[in-house]
Amino acid sequence: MITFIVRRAATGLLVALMVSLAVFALAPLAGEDPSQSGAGAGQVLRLSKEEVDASRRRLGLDRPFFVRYGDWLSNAVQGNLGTSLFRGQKVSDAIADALPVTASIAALALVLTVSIAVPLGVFAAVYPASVVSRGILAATAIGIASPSFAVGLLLVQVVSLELGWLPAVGFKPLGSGLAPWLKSILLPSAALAIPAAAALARFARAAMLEVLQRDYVRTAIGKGLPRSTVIWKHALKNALVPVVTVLGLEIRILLGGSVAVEAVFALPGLGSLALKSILEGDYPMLLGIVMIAVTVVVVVNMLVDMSYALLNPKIRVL
Amino acid sequence: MTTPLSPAAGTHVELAPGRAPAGFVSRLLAQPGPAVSAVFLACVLAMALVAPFIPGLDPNEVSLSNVLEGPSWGHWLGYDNIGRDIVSRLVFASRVSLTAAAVAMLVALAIGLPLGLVSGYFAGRLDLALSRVFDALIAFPPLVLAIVVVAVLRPGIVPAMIAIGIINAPTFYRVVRSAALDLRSETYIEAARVAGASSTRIMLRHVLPNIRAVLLVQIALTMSSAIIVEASLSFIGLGVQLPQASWGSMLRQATSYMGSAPLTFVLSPIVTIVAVVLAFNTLSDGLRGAFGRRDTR
Repeated sequence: MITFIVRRAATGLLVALMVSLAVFALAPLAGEDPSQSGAGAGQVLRLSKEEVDASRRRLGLDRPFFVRYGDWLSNAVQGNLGTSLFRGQKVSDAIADALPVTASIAALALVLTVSIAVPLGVFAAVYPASVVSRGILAATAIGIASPSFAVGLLLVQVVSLELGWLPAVGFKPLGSGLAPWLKSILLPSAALAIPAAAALARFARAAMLEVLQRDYVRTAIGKGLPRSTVIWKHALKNALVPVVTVLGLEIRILLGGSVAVEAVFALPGLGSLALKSILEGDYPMLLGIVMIAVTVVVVVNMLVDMSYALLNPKIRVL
Repeated sequence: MTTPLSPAAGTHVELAPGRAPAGFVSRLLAQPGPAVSAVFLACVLAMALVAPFIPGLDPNEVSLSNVLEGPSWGHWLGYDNIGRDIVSRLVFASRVSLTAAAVAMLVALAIGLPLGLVSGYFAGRLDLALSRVFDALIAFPPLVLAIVVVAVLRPGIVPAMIAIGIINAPTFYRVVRSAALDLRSETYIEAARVAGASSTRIMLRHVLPNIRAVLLVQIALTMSSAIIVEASLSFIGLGVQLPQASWGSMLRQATSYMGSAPLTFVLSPIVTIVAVVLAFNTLSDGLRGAFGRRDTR
C-alpha cells in the first residue's frame, strides 16, 4: 500500500509540475503585458519606455523564463504564491478567502449526490419493472442532460423567487452559525448535486443489477436472510466499488461546475476569483488558483484509487 | 492511472467488430426514444439552417414598447430585456450553439481519432507514451481545463470551441485506441499485413471502417457534452461575445432580470439545452442498440 501511495503521489506531483510549467508559460499571453498596462498602479496609463522598463524590473519580467519559473516554484512550495497584479493582495490570502466557499458547496454537494443517487439506484435495480423505477430512469436521463448552472437558475426561480424559502445570492461563513451557513449553500450545492446524482444513480443501478445476479446473493436469500439485509449489506458493499470510482470522477466535474454555479448565486468562491482574474488578465492569481485546483484533483484521484484498493482487496494495485 | 472504469458513462463501448449491419437505419428508428430524438434533432437543425430565410424572424429587431413582455399570439415566448423576440433569439442562438458544438466535436475527433488509431494499431511504446499524456489530460475537471485554455486564448467563441475540443479529445482517443487494439490481431488484419498492405492502408481501409460504430456513438455523446460546456462557458462570459448569442449567453442575459421578466425568458434556453442534450444522449443509446450490444447503463 505504501509503495502504491508513494508512486501515486510522485505521478501526481509530476502532473502538477507539468501543469504549472504550462500555465506559467502560457498565462502571460492571456492578458496584456502587465508592464505595458501599468498594472499595479491600478489604472491604464500611457507609459514611456523607461517607465515600462522600470515596471518590468519591479515585476521581475526582465529575467529569463526559467529563472522566473524557478523563483515562482520555490516560493510556491513555501506557500507564497505571489501577489495579485491589481490590488496588491497576496494570492494566497485571496485563495484562503475564497476556498471555504467552494469547499462548502462542494462538500455539501457530494453528500447530497451520494444520498440521492444510492437509494434511487438501488431501488431501480431491486424493482426494475416498477413504475417508480421507470420514473427514476426518466428523471436521471433528464438530470444528466441538465447543466448544473441551469439547474441552479431553476432553483433560484422556484425556491427563492416564487416560494421565498431560501436566499438567492450570497454566502454566510460557517462561523456565523450552522443554519445560516447551510441556508446560503443549500441551493448551490443542490444545483451541483442534481446532475451528478443523476449520473451516479445510473451507475449505482447498473452495478446493483449486476451484483444481484451473483450466486452469493442467491445463496444469502436462499438460506433465509431477510431480503433487506442481503440488499443493503451484502449486495450494496460490492456494488459500491464501481460507484466510488465514478464518484471520484464526479468530484472533478463538481469542481468545474462550481465555477458556473458560483456565478449563478454570486458566491465569492474560487470559481468567481478565477473568472475575475481571467477577465482582468491577473495571471499570478490565475496561476495560484490553477495550482490549487490541480492539487485538489491530484489528491482526489489518489484517494479514489486508494479507496478502490481498500474496498476490493482482490485488486492488487500494490 | 489504474481507473478501472471508463471516465464517463459509455465511453468504453464494447461492440462486436463488424460493419454496420444491413437495415441499420430502420433498426435505429424502430426504437421509439431514439427515433423521436432523431426527428427532433433534424427539426432543430433544419430550423437553424433556414432561420435567415424566414421572414419576420429577426433576432436583432428591437421593439422598445414590448420590453420584457410575456408570451402573446405573434410572439410565443415574449420579449427579452431590450424588446427582442425570444423565439427569434432562440432560433438564431441555436445556429451558434450547434456550430460551436459541432466544430468542437470535430476538433476532438481530429485529435483523438488519428492518435487513437496509431496508438491502438502499433501498441508498444508509442501507445504507452500517448496514453500517459491523455491520462493526464483526462484527470482534469473538464470545465476547469476549458477555462484555462480560454484564459490563455482570451474569451471568445473560437477559443471556446478549441477548448471544448481539447477536453473531449481524450475520450475519442480512448475509444478508438481500445477498438483498434482489439482489431489488430484479427485474422483479416494479419492477412492484409501478410499480403503486403502498408500500415497506413490497413488503418484507413480495414481498421477505420470497422470502428465506425463506436465512433458514431462517441460523436453523439461528444455533441451533448460540447453543448453543455459551451453553454456553461458562454453563461460565465468566456464563450460567445456580444452581439452574437448562444443558448448559454441568452441565459447569462436573462439572469439579471429573473424577478421581473416573464418566465419564458429564462426557461426557454434551459428547456432547449436540456431537450437537445437529452436527444443526443438518447440518440447515442439508440445507435449503440442498432449496432448490436445494448448498453444497460
